[in-house]
Amino acid sequence: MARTECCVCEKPIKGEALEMGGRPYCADCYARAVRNRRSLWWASLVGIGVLVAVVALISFLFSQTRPHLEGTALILVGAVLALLPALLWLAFFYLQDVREPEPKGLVLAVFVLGALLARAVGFPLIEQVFGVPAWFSAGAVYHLLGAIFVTGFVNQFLIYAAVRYSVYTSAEFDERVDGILYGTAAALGYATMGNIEYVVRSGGVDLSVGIIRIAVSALAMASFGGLLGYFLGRCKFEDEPAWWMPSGLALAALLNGLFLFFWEEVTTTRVGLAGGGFNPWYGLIQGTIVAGVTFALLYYLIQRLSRRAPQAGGV
Amino acid sequence: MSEMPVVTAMEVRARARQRDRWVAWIVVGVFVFALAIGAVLRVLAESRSVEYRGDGFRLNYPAGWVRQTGLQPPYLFQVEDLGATPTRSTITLQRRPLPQHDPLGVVQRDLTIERRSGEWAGYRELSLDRDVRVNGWEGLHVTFAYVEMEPDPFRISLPVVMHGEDYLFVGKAGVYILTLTAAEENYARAQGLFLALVRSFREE
Repeated sequence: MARTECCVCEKPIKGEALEMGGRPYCADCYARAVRNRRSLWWASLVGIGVLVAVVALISFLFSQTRPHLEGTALILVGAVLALLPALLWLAFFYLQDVREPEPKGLVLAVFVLGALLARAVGFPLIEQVFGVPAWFSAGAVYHLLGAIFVTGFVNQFLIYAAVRYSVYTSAEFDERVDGILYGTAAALGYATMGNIEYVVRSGGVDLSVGIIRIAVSALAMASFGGLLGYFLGRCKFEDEPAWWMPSGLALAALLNGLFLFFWEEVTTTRVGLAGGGFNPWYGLIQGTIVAGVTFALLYYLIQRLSRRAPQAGGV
Repeated sequence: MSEMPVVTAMEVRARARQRDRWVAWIVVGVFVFALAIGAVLRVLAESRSVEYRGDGFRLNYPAGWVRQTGLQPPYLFQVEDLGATPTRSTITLQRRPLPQHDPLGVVQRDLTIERRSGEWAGYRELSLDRDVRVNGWEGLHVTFAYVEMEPDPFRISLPVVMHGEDYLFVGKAGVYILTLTAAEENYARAQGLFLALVRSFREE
């Protein structure tokens, strides 16, 4: 019979080794790897709920009071609002993550890395190299496929890269669910930079509409980043087949592209005598549903994996 | 008793690292493949056009550009790229009566006076080629620039530097003027589409 060492702590395993994805684990490391992180789910759930409520309230207040803001003041308010989704998520995560907390500096670093990659690589590649969205007007098929193969893949690949080439190889990435945590952080950084860019480039935004756009973009990107992170988490701790991670990237890019396509579709309404032409609230509903369903699905998948795993110490 | 073989953590980790490296390269490959598809889509989208037959003429305009209706003479045709930012790119076709002497020169001078006295702030001609030949037509080619003071009527925004060009041809029914205007950053792309439209232009 072969004597085995734990693939994480390298200590010899007494008795039968706990195995996950073809790799031997000692009881402690195994328990950590399959542990579910309640703080992540709470931060995501409460974050989504509070974000939608706050955004709806702010948008309503702005539309009623019509504050007179111009120039730098308008840009500054817009930029602060652009940071709101990420601040809420990070704040709730920080408050919840008390038991064996994840290093906050690392979470923040991945967030910043996501933002930097967006500004340095993502936006120039999408807008300047691929000329998006100028040619999307050639037809719905081009719009849909372009949103998937250019925008979706660039966004998701950079979010993947922000995690894969930084924290993925570190010792702090020691739980399967860490993939979702860091994927969400990187995606929120990416979305936040996109929102700041949008505010600055527009010279400020109509605040009642702009805040909804900011929230929708953050909700969607956080969801797809979380999904990508699920694939990364399993890739790290299990010997998944070679197609596993590329499939995760393709799925996240597909959903990202579909979301962007339908976001434009659902917010564009018929122009009638009562006005219309654009209704951002439909986008907020779409973003909330996508974020809610994605995180519920991820929670279910992680719970199912935890239930299927043999209990540490019980073997 | 013989020593038990040991499956070391180092071996497991080395195997995992090697697999991770392979997977990372496959992910990069999938990404590059997706971008290649994106590039092909762009080329296909930009080469698509729609034929339009109007009052005594026909031409092909870029698919996705929106054709405006209810135009008043001398305008016969107008398409806009509504997706272009910070302001839409526009292609128009006008037909004006044929002056007796130096028809292209007279119409071009009239255009310049109209634009300078109209809403085209800071209008400047950048070049004038009196002997241009496109698709069998001999005509006049002008490039110009001006400032669009209200690029977006729904939002307060900075003025935008616009570039443009005219092709003027003498036809059976009058002088045809094909004009492109686009924001500086969209001009190069729009120029290629405009030239394709000019080449497709036929008088019937």
